Amino acid sequence: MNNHTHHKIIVFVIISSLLILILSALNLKIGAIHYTWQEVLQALLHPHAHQVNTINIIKSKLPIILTGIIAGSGLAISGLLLQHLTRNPLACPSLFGIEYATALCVILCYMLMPTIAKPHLIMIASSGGVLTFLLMFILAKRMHATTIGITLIGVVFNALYYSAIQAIMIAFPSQSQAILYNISGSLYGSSLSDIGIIIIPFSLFMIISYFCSKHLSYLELDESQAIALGVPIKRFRLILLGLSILLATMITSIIGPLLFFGLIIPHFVRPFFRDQQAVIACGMTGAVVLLLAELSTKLISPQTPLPAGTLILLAAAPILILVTKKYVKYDF
Amino acid sequence: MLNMTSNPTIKINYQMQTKQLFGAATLIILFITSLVIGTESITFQQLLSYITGHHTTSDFILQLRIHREATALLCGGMVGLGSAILQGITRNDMVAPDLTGMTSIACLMVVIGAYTIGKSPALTLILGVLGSAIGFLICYLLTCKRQDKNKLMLVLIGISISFAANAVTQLILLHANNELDEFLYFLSGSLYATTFQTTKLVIIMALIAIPSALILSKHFSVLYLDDQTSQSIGAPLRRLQFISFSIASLLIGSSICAIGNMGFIGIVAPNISRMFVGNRPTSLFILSFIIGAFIYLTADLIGRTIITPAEIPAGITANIIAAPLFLFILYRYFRGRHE
Repeated sequence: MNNHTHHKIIVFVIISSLLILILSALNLKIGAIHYTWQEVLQALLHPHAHQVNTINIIKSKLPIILTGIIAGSGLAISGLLLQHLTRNPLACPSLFGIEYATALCVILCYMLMPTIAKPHLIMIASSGGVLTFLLMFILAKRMHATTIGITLIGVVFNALYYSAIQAIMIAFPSQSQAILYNISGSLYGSSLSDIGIIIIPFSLFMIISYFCSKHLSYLELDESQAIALGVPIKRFRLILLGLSILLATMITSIIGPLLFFGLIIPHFVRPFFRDQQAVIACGMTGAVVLLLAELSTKLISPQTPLPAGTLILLAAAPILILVTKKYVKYDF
Repeated sequence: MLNMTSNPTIKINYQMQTKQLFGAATLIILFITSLVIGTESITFQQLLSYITGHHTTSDFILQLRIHREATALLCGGMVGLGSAILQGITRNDMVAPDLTGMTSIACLMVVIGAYTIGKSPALTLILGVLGSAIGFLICYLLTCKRQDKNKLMLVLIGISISFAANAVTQLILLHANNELDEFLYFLSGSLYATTFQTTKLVIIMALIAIPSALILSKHFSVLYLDDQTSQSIGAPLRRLQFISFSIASLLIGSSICAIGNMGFIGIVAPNISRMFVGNRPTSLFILSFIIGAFIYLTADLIGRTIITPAEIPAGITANIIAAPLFLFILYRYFRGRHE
């Protein structure tokens, strides 16, 4: 690694951290109720004060920003790892059906066990996501599906789970109101305690994926080349695969499915950075983009903010076209 | 002198007709069943007395239900038929209205029209048909240079465009407060909002488009040939494609106006029919119609009986029914490519 790329990543990290700070501050300030900078600062400096403004900012607005940063960076990194691992430029946790499977599990859990504790819920939901991934992978292997074919299978799974979710919602309307908002890809509905639960495993996963990603470009070699170079590619691949899926399911069980997010962010980063630097850059970009989307939904309709995922969907189509044109040259 | 029964073409035709008749009979049985079953059950006697002109108290329910089921039957069938035509034009078995952005662009245009100009059935219909044509053209033109190398790309682009269009539709519906609530069914494909007016429109469109599709099917086999071959035998290829495309968008657009987003019926119906009758246009069209109608009627029947008095939109139940079938079709598709 030469000095030049080092230089580049440092500049990138500084700029994006600044952006994250600015966007977070704006997100705190703007919303259904506008606060002045003084009020925001006051609330952040004295989080335990018993003023209405302070309680509002700390209890409802701060969690949104923290979830935005965690979810954005986590999903982006998970997407990046999946794209490298499956050698599929269109890989994304949401397009593998993982995210909707997790959401379905969350809803079923709430339906069957309304008093379930959050950590258990996250564990059950994650296992649902992992199961779907295994199912899809086996299916794709058996079918000899091509790159786009795998995406299509994922879309079918997504549609199936989505329909199941909708059907459950309509069948049990009384319990579903709160959940509906939880799973629509919006950052609302998460509380500080949720963040407390996922922050430890999340940071653990991030650190592991950072250190494992040192050899990310070896994954583009084929099996025999990697063995010849002495890289334990099978173990390496398994660890990273498990990590990226767990990361995605954990985040999804808090905020719900965020379609296409894990697909588009890595493609912003991939041309400029490689390996570990790509992981860092991806995490940063993910957080920035999700906070930006969140801010724009607030600006578009301040009273009933949309799920941030809706805006991501709008950006997805052109990027998907470019990516397919660039990477998938030949596919039936 | 030829022995009639041993003539292979006649034998095949005979087999096709048996399959079609069998399908049609099942469809009629299903139609009558779905008239009888519901939140309020109706006996066969009441049904008979309605048909023969004696009036009973359950007439109104029955009338509503007949309209609803007729819409379901025609729309499901028209989507199946329309996608069969589209698949023929593009020579790509994975093309379907909801996978090429037709459905969502049509829904988007109808909602925009209602938001800016006003609500009227004729406008809805025109915008629906136009929208489905435009949606398909966008997806096709974006990928047409790679059609022969990269067939599934059309579908991928279509899916991403339909997600985007759905998001915009959602935005507009949210912005319009409660004025456009009646278009909410576009997002999930319900027959709940069916009125007599929509039924009438759908029947008129069906009467125009279905016979023309059947007439077209006589000349349709030419489209299966590649461009050079069909031109060298003197077939007016472009004109045929244009006519087929307009009929397909007429069929699909008018059914979208009535039922909204109907899910995977469009891809499942023609592909399942192809397993039974192969690529013979007339039989394929008829069977696609029957299977599409069958799936949508079943979906609606399940959707409105499983949790009475509430109901699950038919588009959702149709997706649950059709998704495994779609997986099976994908399985066959890739198997065929691989071997």
